[in-house]
Amino acid sequence: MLAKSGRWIFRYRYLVVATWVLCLLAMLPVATRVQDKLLPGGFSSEEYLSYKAQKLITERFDLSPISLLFIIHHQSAAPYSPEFDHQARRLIGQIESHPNVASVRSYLTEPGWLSEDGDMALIEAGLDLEIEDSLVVLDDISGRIDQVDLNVVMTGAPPLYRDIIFASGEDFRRGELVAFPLAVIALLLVFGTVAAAVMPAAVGGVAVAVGLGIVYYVADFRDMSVLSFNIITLLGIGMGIDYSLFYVNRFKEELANGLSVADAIAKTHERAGTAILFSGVTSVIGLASLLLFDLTVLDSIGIGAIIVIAIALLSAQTLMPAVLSIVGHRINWFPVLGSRRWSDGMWLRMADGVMRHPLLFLIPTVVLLVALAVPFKDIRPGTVDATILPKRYESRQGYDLLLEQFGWDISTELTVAYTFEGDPFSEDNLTALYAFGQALENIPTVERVSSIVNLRPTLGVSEYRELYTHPEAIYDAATLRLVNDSVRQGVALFYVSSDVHPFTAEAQALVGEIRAFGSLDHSNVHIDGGAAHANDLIKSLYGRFPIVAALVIMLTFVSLMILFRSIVIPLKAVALNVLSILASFGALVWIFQQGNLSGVLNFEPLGVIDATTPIVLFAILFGLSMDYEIFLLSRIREAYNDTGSNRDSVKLGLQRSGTIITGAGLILIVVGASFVLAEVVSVKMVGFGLALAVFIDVTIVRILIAPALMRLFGRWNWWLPHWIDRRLPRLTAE
Amino acid sequence: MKSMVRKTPVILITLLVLAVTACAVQIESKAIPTPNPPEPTPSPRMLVLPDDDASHQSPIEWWYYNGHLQSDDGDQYSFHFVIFQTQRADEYETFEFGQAGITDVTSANHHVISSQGFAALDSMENAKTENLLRLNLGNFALDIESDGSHVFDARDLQSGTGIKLQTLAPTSTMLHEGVGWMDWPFGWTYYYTYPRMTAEGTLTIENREIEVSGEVWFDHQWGDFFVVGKPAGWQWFALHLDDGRSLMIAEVRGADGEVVSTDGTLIEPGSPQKVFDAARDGLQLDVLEHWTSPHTDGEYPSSWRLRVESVGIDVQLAPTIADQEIPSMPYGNQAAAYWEGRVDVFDTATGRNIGTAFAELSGYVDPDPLTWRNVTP
Repeated sequence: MLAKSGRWIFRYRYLVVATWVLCLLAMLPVATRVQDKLLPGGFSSEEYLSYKAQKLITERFDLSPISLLFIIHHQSAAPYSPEFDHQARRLIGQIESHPNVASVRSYLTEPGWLSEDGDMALIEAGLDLEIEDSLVVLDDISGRIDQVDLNVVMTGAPPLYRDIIFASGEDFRRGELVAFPLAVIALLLVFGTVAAAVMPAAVGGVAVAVGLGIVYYVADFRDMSVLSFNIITLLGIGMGIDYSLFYVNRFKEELANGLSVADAIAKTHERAGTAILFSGVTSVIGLASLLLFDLTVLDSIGIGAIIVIAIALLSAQTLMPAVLSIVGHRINWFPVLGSRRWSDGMWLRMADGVMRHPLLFLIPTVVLLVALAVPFKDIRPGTVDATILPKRYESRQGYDLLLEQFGWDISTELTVAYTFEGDPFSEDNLTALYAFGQALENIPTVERVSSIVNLRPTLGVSEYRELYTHPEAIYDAATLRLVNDSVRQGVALFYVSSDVHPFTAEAQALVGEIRAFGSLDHSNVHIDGGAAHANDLIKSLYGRFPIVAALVIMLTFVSLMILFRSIVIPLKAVALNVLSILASFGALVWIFQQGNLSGVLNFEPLGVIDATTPIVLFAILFGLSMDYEIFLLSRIREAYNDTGSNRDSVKLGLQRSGTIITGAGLILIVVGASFVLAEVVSVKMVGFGLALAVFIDVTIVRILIAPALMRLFGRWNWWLPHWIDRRLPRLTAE
Repeated sequence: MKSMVRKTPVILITLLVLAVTACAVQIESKAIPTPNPPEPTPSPRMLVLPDDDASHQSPIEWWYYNGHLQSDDGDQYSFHFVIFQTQRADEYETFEFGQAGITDVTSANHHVISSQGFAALDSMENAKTENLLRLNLGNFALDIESDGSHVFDARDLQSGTGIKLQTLAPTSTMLHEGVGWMDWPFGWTYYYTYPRMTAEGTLTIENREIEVSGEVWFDHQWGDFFVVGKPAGWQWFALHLDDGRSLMIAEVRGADGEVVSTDGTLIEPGSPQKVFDAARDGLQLDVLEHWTSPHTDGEYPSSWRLRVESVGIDVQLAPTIADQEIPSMPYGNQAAAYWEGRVDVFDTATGRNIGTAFAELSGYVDPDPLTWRNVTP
């Protein structure tokens, strides 16, 4: 069927190309503006208990959902001196004049909003905007504060988000500048001619442009996270080039075998087309797993990547054969290198060596991969904070100042909302609140609890009842603030400080212990804060991950069983995939969590692995690694069909696909490795993880382990019980 | 093939159901335990003076002065000066603010100076200096030297008002309740007084500097307690009688507005201090008149009859100027406005002026209501 469609495309090649050109022209203008439609954030879900707690607290206490923090300093005057206060009041006036600033608090009204050395003070501006809308007003607000004689550092969630997005974008742009010329060199190495090398890049580029155009319109119907943009682009280009690479390679081979252009297109379409189709399907299966996590950022990557890969697949199946039909023998124009000849011989010698001593290659390589994977058992998934930003960004400097000079470690604080019926100062409610406050104080990892019933250890319920006879009459500013800011009809807040990092097991246990104090339906204890969010995120992601991974592995297994008509081959393929991914995950933990090589790679160790990174990498790498497996095995299967010899088929398969797999891998390694230069640690981690996993896959796994196992399994490689064989659809690959 | 196609959705659906089930958040339930009884009030210790003039690690503390001064021209002035310090019980970080008032008896004017905001000072750093205490809030400052002398000043450049005084070391001390420690609503407090300290210095009124001298009353109080306003509060008096006696009287109201304690301490030159028990000593304070503040609508007592039968004191007290109200701190509780001013002391029987006093009246201004209280969720 694919051979027929290949001939159809050859006949209507100009029409097909024209259709793609029209699509490109239609999509290009919106594709360049897709980032305008993407939203920041996406790391929380409405289903998370911490999200519900945050919503309850902001709504009931009429709080601004987000705020900006200004750290102010004067060259010669200290806070509360006339000059400092005069300038501060001017600044507050300027900030207040912005229409989206809903409230302003400062050191003038808040005791304790001074730095430890007393030289700096704080101003907080609550915005009446959601985080995604707030980024656009930042420049306007900072533009208003240029006229005061104060050093002002602005930080808070909106500037941090803005800077992370900007820095990530810069990292990707810088990475692409490095990666693109290197990828071109890799393509030239693989094909040896300029014409053949340009083709995959061009077709891959068209696919990405059209794919991003579709993402632009999809973003009208559902939230898409801006943090997905770079990964979508990266994957689109990578997969587009991969598919085109295999297609062009096979086409050149068929022309070299003496076929006419039309016949070469038909045969290439039949063989390489099927392999590409299955590669695409396995990639989509892996990426579709991201949709099962109910997290906007993962959904966005999943949807965006599936769209661009689907378009890349479509372009490789239609645009590429159409273009090759037009180009024909001119594909060999402008030869630059004779790489194919030496590399073919190299693969043959290597295959021969592996075939002769399979265990000699298998055992050390598997031991190496297992050793690499070992640190993965210590993974500490967490949510990243401002420390992923380079220190030269103002928002990061502000974050550090808050931490070091003001002792504001918001990440270790939890806000617990306790709900009840009626007036908080009624006898029953005060009794219940007091008991809850004492229970919180008695948790060993809790350092301090601040609430209307945790004022002094010498006060009991009866004293609190007396104190709150007229709560509005309390003079003590801190207590009056608690009365005004931490209780409402039906809800009271407890601010819990702990000495545990929010991403540790202790923090997760703390959140669990506090939640356990809720009534049986858990409706009266609601926790907001870094540890609670991390708890929800990690529980949600890693509660689902084993099932989702099993689902992906099973579906991939079935796809490969259909393609290769074997049980052992798919089993081996998924096992090797899992091993190579675990090895790269282990290396990520060893480097980025534990901090090894941090000096060489120039980053601050995070102490955690961003919880979404292993999941995104799994989704990408499972499909990507399977691409290489499919291209290798399809050539082996084809040789096996021709020769009937397991040993010869492995040698021939490796010889025929070694260069192309290594070339494709090399491009992705170059692209991934170029992001090691990134300043944002998360970007660096994704790039490094991708490069390492592909490197392991195309070198150790595909060239050494896979052939060694093929040799050891012998004729069992292609065993398929008859009752399964009868039930599977028949397809051919390569 | 058809059967496989039929089976695949079933497998998929099963796995998806498993995935969703696995994601349901499992939380154990645990009853909130019955709380332990609160910690007992700590036992008081003996005070060591002047060392205890320094700052203490306690949630609330204040250093308070009042006095009656005379210029070289014979003009009469009275003043009060106070620095409040609050801190969290578990942290060194403290917050201070100051207030002062000057009563110009001759012109019948009252001037107020407030500190400009909260000042955070490191009390540990203060303790490291050679002085017993050094507090600097910008426009308020207080030094207590190790020799027992005190130097304090407050200034408001905008209105041209200021006070700067230096005292000699105290010659007598009142330890209230006998040991300088007392129960207080919602807690406890150390409390002692140097009732008469010789002082001299400068007052600034409308940018005019006036050299003055006179006698100063010093109160130092610290502990763990809450100050609650109307209907709770207190009436407090510091009397300098012309015969050399010094008397402190305090009547404290609880959260329901009822009087919970009436205390007094008397020092006569050359005699040990007397601590009064209201019932035993016939201590009685009756309000004779009221004055309504035009600033806060607070209705303050403004004339009293004070009797202490055991020592034969029967006097009437009347403000020298009616309006000596001190507004609350900017951004603080509006109910924290108080009346602090010079009071003249008259013998009830003869009507003769027999001394001067200072009165402090707290808890007479309505607090701002809690606006959220009537909002139904």
